[in-house]
Amino acid sequence: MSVSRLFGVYLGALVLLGVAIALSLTGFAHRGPVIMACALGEAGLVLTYFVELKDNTSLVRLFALGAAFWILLLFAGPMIDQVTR
Amino acid sequence: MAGIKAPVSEQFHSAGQRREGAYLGMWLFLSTEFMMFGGLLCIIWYYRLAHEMQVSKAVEHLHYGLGGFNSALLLTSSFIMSLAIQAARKAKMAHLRSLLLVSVGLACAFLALKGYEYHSEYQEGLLPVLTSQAPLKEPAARLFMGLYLISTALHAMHILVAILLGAGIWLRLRLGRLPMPERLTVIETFAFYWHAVDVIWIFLFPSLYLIGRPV
Repeated sequence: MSVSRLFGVYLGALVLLGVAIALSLTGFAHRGPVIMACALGEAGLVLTYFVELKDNTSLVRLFALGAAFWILLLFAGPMIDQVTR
Repeated sequence: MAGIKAPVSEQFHSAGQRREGAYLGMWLFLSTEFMMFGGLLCIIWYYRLAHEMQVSKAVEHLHYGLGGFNSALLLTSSFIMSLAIQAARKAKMAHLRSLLLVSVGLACAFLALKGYEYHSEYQEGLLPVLTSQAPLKEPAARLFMGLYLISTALHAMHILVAILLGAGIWLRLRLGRLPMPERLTVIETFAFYWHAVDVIWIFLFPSLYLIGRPV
């Protein structure tokens, strides 16, 4: 992967971090979900380009997806309880 | 990378197969790490939803500026680590060692800043067990500080492990015991761990410092 692309990804992640911090200081009503969306974006950039999931084999990507799926299950149970009360 | 020629042990057909095996093993380990911190994040979020107002009072006391600067430090160290991998693939040994050292230095700076943050929180009487937590009147706000301390201290321990591993790899490179690109898998899987610790902080930072901060 080219150094210029890696630098672009790094700058993109820093911008998302800055947006998240700036949003947290505003009175914007739905800032929580937007801040977490910024965090998801940062993590996506790091995993796709720095960890190079983009260039890995399908089996490696499946392992990574498996980890995400288990975390989703972990979150789903308690949150279903919370939102259906 | 696919073009790299390297001798392989008899259980592997090719260097590519060995590399994929190493990647899968590392991802399996990282999955357990993500699950552990995922459980902590789940508790933090459940607690936030159950005690929104009280948690907001605790969040108000956290130093988001220091946390934000630490986030930038970790993102920078991840970027530098990616550059180190590029240098390792091209067998630029001096460049690789320098970049590895910079990454380790940035992680040390993260720990130093985290230590300073804990110290100031100790002086403000916010930390559980060690202080009376007098500025926090609500029990739920005090418990949130407990979650904050557990999750950030566990993450700091992971950073410490990454620093020790990084220093060990740097030493082996310096002694010529890790020829590149033949032993590229060692530094690539180490970089996976490095980036994973960064990803964990990417989620911890907004979950603890940013969401619900009073304006």
